[in-house]
Amino acid sequence: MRIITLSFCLFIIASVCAAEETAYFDWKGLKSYAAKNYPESLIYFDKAIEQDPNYVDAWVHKGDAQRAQKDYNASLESYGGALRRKNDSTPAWSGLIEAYAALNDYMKASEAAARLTEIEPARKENWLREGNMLQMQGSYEEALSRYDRAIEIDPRYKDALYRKGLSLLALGNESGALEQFEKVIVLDPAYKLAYNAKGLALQAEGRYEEANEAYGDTQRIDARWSQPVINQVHALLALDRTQEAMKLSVTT
Amino acid sequence: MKSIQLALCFFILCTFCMGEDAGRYFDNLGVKLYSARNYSEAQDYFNMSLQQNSTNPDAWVHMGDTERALRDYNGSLDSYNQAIELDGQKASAWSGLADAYSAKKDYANASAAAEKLPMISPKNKGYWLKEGSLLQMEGNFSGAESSLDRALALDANYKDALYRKALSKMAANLSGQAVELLDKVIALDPKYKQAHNAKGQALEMQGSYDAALKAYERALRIDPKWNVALINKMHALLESGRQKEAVDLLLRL
Repeated sequence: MRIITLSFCLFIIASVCAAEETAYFDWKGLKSYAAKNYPESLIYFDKAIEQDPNYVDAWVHKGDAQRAQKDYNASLESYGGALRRKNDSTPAWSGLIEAYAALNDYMKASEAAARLTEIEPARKENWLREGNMLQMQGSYEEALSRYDRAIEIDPRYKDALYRKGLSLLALGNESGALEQFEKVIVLDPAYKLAYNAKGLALQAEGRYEEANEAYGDTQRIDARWSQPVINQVHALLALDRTQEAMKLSVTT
Repeated sequence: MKSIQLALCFFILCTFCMGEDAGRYFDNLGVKLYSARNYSEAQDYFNMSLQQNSTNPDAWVHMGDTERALRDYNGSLDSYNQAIELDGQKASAWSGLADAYSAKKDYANASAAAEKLPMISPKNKGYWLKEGSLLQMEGNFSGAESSLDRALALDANYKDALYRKALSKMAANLSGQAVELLDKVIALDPKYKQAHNAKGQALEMQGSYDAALKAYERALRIDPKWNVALINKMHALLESGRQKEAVDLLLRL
């Protein structure tokens, strides 16, 4: 009886030690990852996985390190490894979205994003991300409902309002788009993307003078951003202010 | 007494020659380092060269070029001006001066400096082009056209001058003539992406959005990542009512 109790205790101690060692390797890997030494971090994550193949965090971290090295296909496998062990691992789904997006596979990225919102529907960021992936896929109508869900959670969520505006612009609803961009500008007067998009929406409506002003506002926020300058060239050309347009064009 | 005087003269001559030789030697070393893009070390050598002989305009020009590469535009202006003071006909100094002013976005002074270049060497087509380009940057498109015509009189197939002349035509709202000139450039060099892009803009001015779109796409076939042509393409799509495609592009810029 004593021998059985002793070997049981030994087994428990050994298990605890092994688990601690796994966490240690994972921690070491994270330290190398933070120092941007990705090859070294992968060695540690592999050691952690070797110790305990069910250690989900190590699979996720390995995927992140592979993604940082732009080895996207390998990172997909690692995230898959995490999800086979824990299907509701949000960091694994999150990594999967990024890896698919980096591979320009927005269909799979939006499928992964949909799964993430299913797991965590209360997080506004998840709805925004799903919407963004749908937009990248060209599904602007579908993206709208995702942005609406994000805005439902936080009506002052400027990134979702901006993206909703882009969806509306793509769908030919310029006035609806302008409304969204104006909301963003009220919430954050330094949101340069909203001014720029406002200019585009005004241009689509043929309101070139106002578009020109919006591009000017964008440049006041970020004088080094060339896109609004080129946009302004188009607005000026449409206004027959060719001399000004060409001066801007040759100095950009 | 005579021999002492002679020895003194000889000594002065030697010192002078040694200074000049050392100056040139350091200048040459600096030029080598400048070519290797080691600007700060190059600057040290130009400084040593100028310490030995501050009357060498070439060393001042090289110093100006190095300061410009290091984005010390005010410093470079001073150096070019030193070179000009020593030799008012030093074209490289005037050219550097024009570039330094241009980098500071002072196009009025830049074109004033560039104006001297064709005066020094009127048979140099590049100088006429430089003057024309800087006049355009100043907003003087009609003045630019006459300089560009002088360049084209020296070489009728000078594609850069033809391209710049087309821009002047566009500024004067003569988009048809601009397209003709740009077609000439494209015939001379089908890979001249700026000409395809400008042709797109000229066609847009005429309201020919589909043709403009094709011109931008040709520019993008030459350089698929060229942001300017991508943004222009987005506008052509927007003006054609193809908003979905325009936003697709916007999201990828």
